[in-house]
Amino acid sequence: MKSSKNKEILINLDTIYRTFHTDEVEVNVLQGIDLQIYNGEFLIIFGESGSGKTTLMNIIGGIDQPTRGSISFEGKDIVTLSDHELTLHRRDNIGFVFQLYNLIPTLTAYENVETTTEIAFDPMDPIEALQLVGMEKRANYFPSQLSGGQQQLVAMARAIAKRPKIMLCDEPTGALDHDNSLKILELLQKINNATGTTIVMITHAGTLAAMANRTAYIVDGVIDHIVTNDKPTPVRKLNW
Amino acid sequence: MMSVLNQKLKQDIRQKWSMLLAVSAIIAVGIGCFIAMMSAAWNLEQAKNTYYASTRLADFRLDLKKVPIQEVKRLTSISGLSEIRERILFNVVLDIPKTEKVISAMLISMPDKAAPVLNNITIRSGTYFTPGRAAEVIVGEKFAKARNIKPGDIIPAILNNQRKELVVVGTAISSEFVYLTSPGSLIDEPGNYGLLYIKRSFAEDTFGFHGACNNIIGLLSPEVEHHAEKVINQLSQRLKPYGVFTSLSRSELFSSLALDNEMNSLKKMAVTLPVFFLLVAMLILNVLMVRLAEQQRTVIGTLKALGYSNKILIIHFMKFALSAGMAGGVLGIILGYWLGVSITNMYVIYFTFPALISDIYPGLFSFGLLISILFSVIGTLKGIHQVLQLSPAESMRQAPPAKGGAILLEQFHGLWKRIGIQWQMILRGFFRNRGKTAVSVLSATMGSAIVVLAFGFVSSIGEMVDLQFNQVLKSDYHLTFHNEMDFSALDEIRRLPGVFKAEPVFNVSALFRMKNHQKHGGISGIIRNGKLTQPIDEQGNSIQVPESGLLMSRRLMEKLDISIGDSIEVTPAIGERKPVKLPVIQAISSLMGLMVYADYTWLNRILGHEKLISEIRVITSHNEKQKQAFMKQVRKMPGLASLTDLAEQKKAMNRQMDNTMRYMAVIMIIFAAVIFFGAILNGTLISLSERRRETATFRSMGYFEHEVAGRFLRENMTTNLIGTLIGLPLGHWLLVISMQEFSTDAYSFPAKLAPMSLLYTLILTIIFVLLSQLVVRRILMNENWVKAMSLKE
Ligand SMILES: Nc1ncnc2c1ncn2[C@@H]1O[C@H](COP(=O)(O)OP(=O)(O)O)[C@@H](O)[C@H]1O
Ligand SMILES: [Mg+2]
Repeated sequence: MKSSKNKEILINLDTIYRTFHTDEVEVNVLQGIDLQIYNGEFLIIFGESGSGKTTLMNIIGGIDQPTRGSISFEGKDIVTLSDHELTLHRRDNIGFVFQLYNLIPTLTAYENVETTTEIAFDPMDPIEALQLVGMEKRANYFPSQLSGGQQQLVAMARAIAKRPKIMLCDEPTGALDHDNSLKILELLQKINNATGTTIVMITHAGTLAAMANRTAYIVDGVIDHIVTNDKPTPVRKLNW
Repeated sequence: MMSVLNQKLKQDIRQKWSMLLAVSAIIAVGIGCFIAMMSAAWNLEQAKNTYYASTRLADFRLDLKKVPIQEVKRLTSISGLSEIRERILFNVVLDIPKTEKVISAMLISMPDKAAPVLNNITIRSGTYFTPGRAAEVIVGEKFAKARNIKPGDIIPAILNNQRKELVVVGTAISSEFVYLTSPGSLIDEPGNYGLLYIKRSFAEDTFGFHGACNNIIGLLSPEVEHHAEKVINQLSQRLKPYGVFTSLSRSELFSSLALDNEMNSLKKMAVTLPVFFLLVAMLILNVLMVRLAEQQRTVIGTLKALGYSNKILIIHFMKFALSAGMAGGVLGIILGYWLGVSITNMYVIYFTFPALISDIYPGLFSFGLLISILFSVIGTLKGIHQVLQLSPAESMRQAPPAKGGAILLEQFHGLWKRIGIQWQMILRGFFRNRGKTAVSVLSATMGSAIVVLAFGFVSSIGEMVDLQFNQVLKSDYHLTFHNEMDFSALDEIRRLPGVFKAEPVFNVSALFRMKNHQKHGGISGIIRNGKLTQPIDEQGNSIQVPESGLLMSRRLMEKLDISIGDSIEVTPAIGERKPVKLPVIQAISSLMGLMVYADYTWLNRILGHEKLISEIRVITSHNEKQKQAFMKQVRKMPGLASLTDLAEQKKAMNRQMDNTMRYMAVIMIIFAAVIFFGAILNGTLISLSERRRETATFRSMGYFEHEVAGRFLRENMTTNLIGTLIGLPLGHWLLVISMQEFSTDAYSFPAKLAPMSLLYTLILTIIFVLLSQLVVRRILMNENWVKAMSLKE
């Protein structure tokens, strides 16, 4: 990973605005975000609840479009993509991990991973992905038979199985207890280290900044400042 | 407190309006069906009752050879007889200029001076008879219109072998012939068969019937109304020496029979068909309400914790469902009324009334509304039960997570792995939502059964016409004569230009008696190995008449309680009129009328005759010139009573059936479509609302919208095709029952379903599902799935 710290830009966000129009009020959530995401880095986006982290994440992941501004992915503009092209972009490049796991309840762990591998360009074997997260023994379990932490592990296997260029994790530990959170975070770090997959993680736990290469702080819809961390701390060693 | 709930009710209705609308639409169709057919039946019934009463339609009718009026007058001594009228009645051939075809008509005598007699006619144009001129005629309105005959016109006719020129003084209608058919036919052919009323004095002179008559009609006194048959039999018995051909009670008159049959069919359909719709609506509402109760468990729990009583909550949920029931009921009433008017207007073409009015029936409407409310209330019960079960504490907790689980099918491991995750998801979903899946399947079952029934109606009627005119009656024309002819008539016909083949028929009117059952009817003596008349057995295979004994229609056998091999007492209405015992050899399927066949020679011999002919059936050249020459010669034949053109009859039959049955079938298919759309959209909307997060997740993972929509399509296709596969045999079974129910003494409908209809039904199902999918895609397209992604379920 250190080798990929040659600051090759994967995603470039240029003065991103996002305004929501609800009934009568206009909510200006993002008000000119400038952010570069580097290939292979572990980036944390930190901000208070309601500060627009998820909104930003959705735009990075190509499931929402900015009101104004431009985003490029590997130098290619994605704001102008059609719905079809954008879907393909997500299919090939983006791995999502949600706070509430969003597993399909009628599918087993294995099959949930298959939902990705079925459509991906060069996927892992689902079992390989489950092994990566240590869930291969639960391959035939349904989500309702798994604990929250286990479900999130499966969700991560699902995200990683397509070998995405970037993994977007929106408060992946938000619904988990300490031990389970630790497991997830360790795994994310491991994935980042072992595969060089770029990871963007949203959190509002400030202490986690130490585990990332960089932490971007959102305040009032703009990036207030970015803290760079030359030597990320292994999750185990975080006093968290 | 109530205002909060009212607010919630409004919001619920606004949120679920499309689902409620789907339920309402299905209810509306059901209630619409009920009201439409019921009011059409009642419209006919009202028109009939007023018409019969105002024209004093007789309670019975007797046709005989000839009886002195003195004898008729003495009949009044029979108790139970309140009024009697004698008439002279003949079938005659007209000689209308510039029409080559032989047109026949029924000639009926009326008093020279207008009088309020039984079976009085209603003048529609021109006048009643005028004094002075003998050969005046009042023409049946329908025939006059079809032939463009007006007062002042002359109709030349062959009366008793003399050509007479009848002067038209007016046109009229009669309650006796609300539905008019020629004697050999059971179908209305306006223009081909007419009704002519002439002066009694002129009829006497022309037919040599001074002081005599051949038709008696009468009213029974109210006390005997319920055993009319007894009085009529007594009359027949008294008049036996004068040769009674037929004796019919009012309800057996073909016109009355046709009308009553139609009303009965309408009423039967009116109460059975809606059941399907209401049942489906009820089940869909049931699913909807149960889901609503589940979705709103937190809200319900909160309300309960706040102190809202169960009663208030019940009323609240009832109101929600009732809104669908009421809307459906009201829409149904509007639809039903409109459709009722349209059906009633269709009958104006076939049934001749002074006025056939589409009335408004408030009682019927209220009843329709009541039924729709009742069904919607039943549809709510399970959901309400769920609401009541919920304790506030329990409901505050989050609903248990959606369960996924292995299903039986997964035992077939290899197969299960091969179907792919989409299907795995769908199949597990089906089993997870058993109730909802069952309702989807059942709705498709009901919908497709109705479609099959609609196709079956059309093909069964087609089959009846086909069997009757292509398999049983292969002739082109039937010629009947006033009196029985001998064999020379056959030779004469055979010699006519263009005649390829001619076969004699010996028709005998007779009274059949078996123990305490008796019925007037007739036996047709046809030649063995003949080509023009081929009776069919109950399977529809052509059979020959036996050397001796009778072939009898199954229905008549049932009426007389006869089994194969029994001998039945037959009293012929001609000759000595001595009863004979004849064996019934085989049952036949008789499509029109209650036919009895026997061998021509045997029947002649057994009745003591030799080669008597009452009808000749011919096949002629279809060459126009030869046909013209044939007609020209036939018209000159003395003693000819009528000529039936079978091609015309078939055409008329097809036309009428097309108009009525196809119309019905189209409406039924449209209504079935409402079931399909209603059920599919409702099921899909429920699924959509429950799977918003799932759908959003798939989209975020890079699934295309059509791939996400494809899951709904596959689901709907599966449930609907399974439902349809069950609906096909159900529809066939319903068809068999309906055809049995529709069959009467006049028509018997074989249940026939073309194999292609099954395919068409499947194709229609597929079309309905695909059309619904358009709506599903629209909904998916408008869905804000970015927002849905972070939904907490
Ligand atoms: N689809 C939407 N429509 C309207 N308002 C929205 C929408 N999504 C988010 N918002 C608003 O934008 C703000 C930021 O939301 P979000 O990005 O989810 O914040 P965070 O993830 O940082 O908690 C919130 O005030 C939220 O109410
Ligand atoms: Mg958020």
